[in-house]
Amino acid sequence: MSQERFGGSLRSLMLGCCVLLSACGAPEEVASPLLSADPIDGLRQALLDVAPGGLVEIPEGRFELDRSLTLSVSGVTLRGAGQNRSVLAFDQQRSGAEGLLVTADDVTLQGFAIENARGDAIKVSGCRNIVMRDLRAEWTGGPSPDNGAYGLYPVQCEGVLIGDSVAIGASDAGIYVGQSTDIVVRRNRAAYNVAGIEIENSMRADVYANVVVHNTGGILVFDLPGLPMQGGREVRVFRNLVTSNNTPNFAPEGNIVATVPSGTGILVSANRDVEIFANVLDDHGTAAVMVMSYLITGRPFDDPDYDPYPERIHVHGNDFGRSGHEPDAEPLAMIRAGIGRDLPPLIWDGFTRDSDSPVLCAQDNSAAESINLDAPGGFAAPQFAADAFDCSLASLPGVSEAGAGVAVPWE
Amino acid sequence: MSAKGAARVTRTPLLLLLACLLLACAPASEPWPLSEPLPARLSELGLLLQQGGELRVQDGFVYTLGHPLFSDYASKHRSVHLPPGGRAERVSGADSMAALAFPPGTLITKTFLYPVPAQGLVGLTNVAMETGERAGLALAGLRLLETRVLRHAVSGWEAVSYLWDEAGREAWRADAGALLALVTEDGVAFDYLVPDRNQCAACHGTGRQQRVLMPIGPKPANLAAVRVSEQEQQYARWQAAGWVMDQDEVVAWPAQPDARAYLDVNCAHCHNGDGSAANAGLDLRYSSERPWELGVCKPPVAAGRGAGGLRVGIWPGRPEASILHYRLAHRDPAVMMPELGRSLVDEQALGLIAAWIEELQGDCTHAGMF
Repeated sequence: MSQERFGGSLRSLMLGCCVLLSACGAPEEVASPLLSADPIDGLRQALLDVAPGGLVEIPEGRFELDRSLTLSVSGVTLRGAGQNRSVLAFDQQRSGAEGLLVTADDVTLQGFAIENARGDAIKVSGCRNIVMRDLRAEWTGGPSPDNGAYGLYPVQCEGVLIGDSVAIGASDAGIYVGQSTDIVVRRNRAAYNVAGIEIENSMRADVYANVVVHNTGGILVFDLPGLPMQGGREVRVFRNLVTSNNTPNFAPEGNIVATVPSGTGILVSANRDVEIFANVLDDHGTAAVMVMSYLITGRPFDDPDYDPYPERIHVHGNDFGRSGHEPDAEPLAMIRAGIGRDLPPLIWDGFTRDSDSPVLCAQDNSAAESINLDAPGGFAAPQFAADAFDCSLASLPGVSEAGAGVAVPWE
Repeated sequence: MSAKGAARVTRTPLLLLLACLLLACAPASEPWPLSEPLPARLSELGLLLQQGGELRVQDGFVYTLGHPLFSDYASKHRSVHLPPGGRAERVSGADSMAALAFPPGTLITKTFLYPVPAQGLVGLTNVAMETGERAGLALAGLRLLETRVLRHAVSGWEAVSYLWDEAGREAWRADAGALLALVTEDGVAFDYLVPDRNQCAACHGTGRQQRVLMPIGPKPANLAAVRVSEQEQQYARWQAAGWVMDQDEVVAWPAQPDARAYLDVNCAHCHNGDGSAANAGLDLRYSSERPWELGVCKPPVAAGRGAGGLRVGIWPGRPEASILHYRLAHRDPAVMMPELGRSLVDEQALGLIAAWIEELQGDCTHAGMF
């Protein structure tokens, strides 16, 4: 139905009435008074009406929204004019726990920004093959516990590509991939979040060529108890620039990231088979790389399937700049005061168990020294060594041939 | 952009148009074809009629629930319209706490309404509903907001909401939903959400991907918690009338407010181990027995600000230290639970949940390094 057809002249009105009178059996021609020319109403309706495989475009401009957008049609591309050109602003959001919620397969989100969502910026739940490219999720007021939790947030997805995007100011993780498999996170910039990039309870992830600066913790690889998907493993973190992640932790207490000390470059907790290589890490007050058991959080867990110990963490060929000069954790600060110099770049909490596999192997990094905190012994006898983890592990296959720039298969 | 296709219709011609449409097409006498998309106007479905100042149902019956979903104190008029000869059934192998299975052709309506104590205000007191085939609801002094329709079409259930015009004469299909600014009789402003079609699936969608919609309200245990007469509870009347084919015993939920029934109705459509919130690891169904899955001493997973500086979902004996209680007490969209469908606090339920947590046994004391 066009504007011209019901444009207000009596003649066209009469005509319309006649058409409708004769069309009572086919009343989809009836105009609802809810129809509107507002571009966001149009976008909202387009996201509902788009056919599978279709394209929905977000115009250039800044648009204010007061409630969440939703997309549940598979194969759709939602595309704006660029992460700084098409801006969906949620400063006045009054309803919905996220800016955009996607519950569909084979969706591509590209070229737009979500600003100041009350909760998460973009959540993609239970999907296959989500591509997020040239997006920006930002809380524009800087770090604050009042900011939303996650910026770019696929959870329980098979096939995730997050690339060339920006996440700023999340009070949990800027880029957070949870309970997912086959993941590529590359060429993104994460800044001023509590966690820059977090891979949690996920399998097969490549995190590379990202710039991760001024977060509380740069890149986190976690495995947590009590979740449907267990056994996080096979995560490669390589060729990232991870510097100056010293922002004071502003996460609301109770969340696991609230326990992350400020000044942490890369933190591995309770994962298996993590390969951390060829990263540049510099200026971290607590540590360049920390490898922890879940036990150090002191949190209870009731999950017979959960393994709280990290295993086969391979740290090699990294460039460690300065770290350990201002540790943001009481036991570490005391150890540093005791030795009167910066802590080593590589820190392990010391929780261990009988296993044929090493917890950690560290080779060919720019600095060799590490510390075993002796957390199980109450930090009474921390051990410093240059060769404590002198072992080798096979390289992981990886999700994509990233070095050659080959795309992931479904990209 | 579809905005180009959206017509801007000026008001006066629209009213004329409406009048001519109503003359031309109402009342609907034939059932709306199952093969057709749901119509633009609710009246075309022929399910709800306004006769003599009352809302009545056609080819269906009105029911209520002992433990309703909280929706900003809106009162709800609910009806089921079975196809000729059709009956509901208990889901095979399911207990009386799973929603009934309704045959293809079934329509279910839920009309949200408020009393209007003064011009422009809404009252929060519950409007009592008669039940059954001949139930009537006197519309004087009421404001109808929206009617949500669930239809069991050939390809499965579909859901859409119809938004009533201010005069309460017609309701229009509102796939994209709406936010309505309302003010209570006490002067409290709040945003009433008419869900968009996808948001219907946020509650009615089963499984993590919310692909398949199902009714969630009509559970035998909840229907049976209502007495329709001195002698008879509601579900027994359904059985006697042949609306449901079910010879099994029904364990009714308590007739009085009950914390576990409240959690089931208000939370468990997402928090059930396989729902859209499965990633949180909670199971708040009435049948859930493991304290951890109810949130006892369980740290939050992805709660963000919803954690409120608290460490566990439920701290037995300490509602003020329990995230569950905290999120029910809040109105901020990033903090509150449920995420959708309310922007006011259910004060009575908050007290109910607090009292329940007070009674629980256990201790979550623990310490960590950081």
